[in-house]
Amino acid sequence: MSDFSVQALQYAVDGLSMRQNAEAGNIANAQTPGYQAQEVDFESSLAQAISAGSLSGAGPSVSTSTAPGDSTGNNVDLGNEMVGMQETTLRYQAMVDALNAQFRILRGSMGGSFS
Amino acid sequence: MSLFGAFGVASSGMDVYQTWLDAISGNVANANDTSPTSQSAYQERYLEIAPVATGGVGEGVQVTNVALGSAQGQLSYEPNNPLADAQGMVRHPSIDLGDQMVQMVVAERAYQANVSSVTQARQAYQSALELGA
Repeated sequence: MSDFSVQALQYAVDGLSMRQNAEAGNIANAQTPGYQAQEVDFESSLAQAISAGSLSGAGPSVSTSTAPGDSTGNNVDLGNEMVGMQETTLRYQAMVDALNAQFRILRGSMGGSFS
Repeated sequence: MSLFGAFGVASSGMDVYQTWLDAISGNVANANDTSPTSQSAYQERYLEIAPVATGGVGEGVQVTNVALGSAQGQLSYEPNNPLADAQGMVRHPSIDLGDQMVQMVVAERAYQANVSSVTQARQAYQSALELGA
């Protein structure tokens, strides 16, 4: 599939899936002494790739949070992670909806049904 | 990254916090154990936990060791207790019930947070399975 919209949406779905994994790991380690929360950023590389017109070579980046830790050195903010996970799930569903819309357009333009 | 990676991560969290709850309930149940001074007191269980270092995104969690509390416990004067020694002393564990209760709340909330992870991940995966439908 060479459609750029589909590629960009797929990139976003991959990035969101990776973020969801990171958030699940942060929640699982919310009480682990010394654990540093993981953060995934794909938006900046996606924005760059879209303005450049090509997604080749672009990839999401993973970093550890620089937030101050508690007395055990753990810096997971459980509230942030829970809200973040809700947001990630909703955005994931939005991306899947958008992908489905793209597929409907393609299907319709090939003589199938648009709905 | 496995196909449904977030499930494995969240279930490792549920596993650890379930084990923690088990340890706490054991500690609370044995808080009033009595033993003769010639034997050690019931030693409360403490879990040591650490991330499962996969090097990837989203690390699980695991129990690495179960540490034991003081075998010394505390001596108390109970001359009528059949376990008492010649001086009338018996040994009780030095378990701080307040501390155990606080840990129980922390473990319970952490367990619930992991269940919430599973629910969220399921919704996302479910929508992915409807792609192209």
